[in-house]
Amino acid sequence: MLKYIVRRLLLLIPILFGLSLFIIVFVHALPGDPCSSILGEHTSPERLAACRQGLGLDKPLYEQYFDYMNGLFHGNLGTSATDRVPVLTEFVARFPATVELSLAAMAVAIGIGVPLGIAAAKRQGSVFDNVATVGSLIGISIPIFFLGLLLAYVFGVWLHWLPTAGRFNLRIYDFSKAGTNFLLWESLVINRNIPEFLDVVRHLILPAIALGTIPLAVVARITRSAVLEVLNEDYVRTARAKGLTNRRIDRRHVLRNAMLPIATIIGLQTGLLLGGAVLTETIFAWGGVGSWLFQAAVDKDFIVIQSGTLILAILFVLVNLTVDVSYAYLNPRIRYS
Amino acid sequence: MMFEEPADEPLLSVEGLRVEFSSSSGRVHAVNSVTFELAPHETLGIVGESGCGKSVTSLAIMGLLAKPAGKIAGGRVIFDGTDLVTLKPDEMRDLRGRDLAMVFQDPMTSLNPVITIEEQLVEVIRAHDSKVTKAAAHQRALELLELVGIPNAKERLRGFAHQLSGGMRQRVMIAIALALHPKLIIADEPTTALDVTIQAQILELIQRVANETGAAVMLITHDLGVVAGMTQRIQVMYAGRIVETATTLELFAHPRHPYTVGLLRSIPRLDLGDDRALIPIDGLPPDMTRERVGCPFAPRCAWATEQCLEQDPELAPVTAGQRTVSSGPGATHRVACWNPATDAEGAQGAPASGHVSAITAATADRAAAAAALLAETP
Repeated sequence: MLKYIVRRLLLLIPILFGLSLFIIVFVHALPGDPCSSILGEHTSPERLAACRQGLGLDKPLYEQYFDYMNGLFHGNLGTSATDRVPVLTEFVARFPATVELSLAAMAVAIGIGVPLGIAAAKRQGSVFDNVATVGSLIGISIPIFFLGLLLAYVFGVWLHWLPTAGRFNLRIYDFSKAGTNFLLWESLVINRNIPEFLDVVRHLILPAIALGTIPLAVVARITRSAVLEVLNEDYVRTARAKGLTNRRIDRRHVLRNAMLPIATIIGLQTGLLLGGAVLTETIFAWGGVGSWLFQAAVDKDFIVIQSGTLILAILFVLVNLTVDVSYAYLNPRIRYS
Repeated sequence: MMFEEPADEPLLSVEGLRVEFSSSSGRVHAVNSVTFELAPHETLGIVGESGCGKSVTSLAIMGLLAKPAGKIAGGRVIFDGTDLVTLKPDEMRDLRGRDLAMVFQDPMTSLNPVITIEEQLVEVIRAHDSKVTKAAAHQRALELLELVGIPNAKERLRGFAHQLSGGMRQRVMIAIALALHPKLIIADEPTTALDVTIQAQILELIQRVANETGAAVMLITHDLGVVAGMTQRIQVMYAGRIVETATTLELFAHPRHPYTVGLLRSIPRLDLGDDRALIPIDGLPPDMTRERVGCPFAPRCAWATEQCLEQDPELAPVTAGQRTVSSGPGATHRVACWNPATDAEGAQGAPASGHVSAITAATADRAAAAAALLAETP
């Protein structure tokens, strides 16, 4: 197993090489560059040339790539051209927001999607099943910006139940002992402040629902079909013939086997969410990785796009590796070698 | 004053059992008025071709019919004095695995692939008695694997189904069935999915453990060869009903129902050592969604008479001039046929010369009528 993990990690190297080449070529194929964004339209060609020289953008592309990769090998992810903040610093500051939002969204997706899928499968063909199936189709099809704005309008503007922007209330949150930016954990474990924690949770609810809806629908559909398939398996009939309780049959026999496809889809969806949710983060003013990369793309901030994408690619691979490793636990027929 | 339970009190008594499935093409009458008894410690064979209702009968007894499509439409299943049809689901659940156990056809798919053999054994023990400690259940699981002849039982317990061969998996299934000393073991085609060399071992094992534990066995198979050496009595099913029942010896020596005769003539017999050709049974079983008139086997039967096409024969004792066996419970030879085969006909696998099947006759009549019609047209 350890050998397998090491091999998978070594495979990261060629993936990242290929990806870096791919990104740098495509980023530079965009019209404009950071200097035109920084200096604006009404500037002199001299100032533009000086800026480009300062950022090394006047060199040939292969040299820029070489310089960039050289930096990477020395642990330097580069510095943003627009605000001169090191990429790593900015990423570390923003990533916790994305992690909290992604995990909350996945909690919504798994917490509702799995039971919904199971319930639909066990009542196959019933009104409930049909409503759930149609509902999950709507969930997959609904545009996030529409759902996000609708949620913000109904629960924030209209009902005043929940906040619609940001991650915390400045009047409530105490930053004196803080610093990790993992607000849920900080407020609960370090500050031990329940009102503070509840405030963070309240801020998290609407964006988590908005971001979690598509994964929820996907998870519910996969769960339904996986459970239906397992319910028809001979070993489930064996379990019934043993006189086990329905509860035990569902948990140990049906779910345990249906977990395999469900785990795959959960892993993939989590990886996708960690990549940042541009729309959700923009609507709910959530200072995460998604809105940062989006802004970098608008500014043509090459270095941020390159390094940010690379970090996310690494994370995506790691999440998938975790899923693959969990397979060995879920399915004894799989032995990695 | 003490009353002794009569020795011939049946363990299982199925009375007029009817099972229906609703399907897109209509209601399927899978089992029609099946009545039979099974004595304690008896080994009964149920034989018939695919779709004759033998598996459905066993699933109905176990309360395992696929829901919601399948349901018991009528009749009673008295097991050990209780009518299983009227039991509450939870009471039925408690009987399953404890007093009633089942061994299924395909051991490759009947064991859960992702949990250990030990857990699959232990869970059945603990499902029916939560007071059994884990250690005691583990010990029992080990004994069971040894009882069914699995080598390295200790290591096998920790293993998974995919690490075992088909024969070993079926042994595990039998161990699971035996876990709580069931009074009845239903084995549904237990050897069909196995290599021929393994089949005999598994049958021997079932017979041995049934003898040791005193369990009654219902052995369901399409293969008369399988039941020959193992059962005391055989019941032949066709189109969801029992068409003939007799002791094993009696049935092989004096088959009366043309379908039984056909089954016997379609298996190779080494013991008779002659050059008899195997005779297949022509045609297909009837469409079970339709209401039928007459004997369900008549359309395929060389013995068929006019009466067979119009009236449905009841299962009745074999009559005068034919043999009856009187020893043992339910040993009486019974057959549902208007024109049963004689010993001579049974031996040659065809009706005595001179008999023209009503089916052949009807076909000939139609052909003649058609020819006449053709001749009239200018």
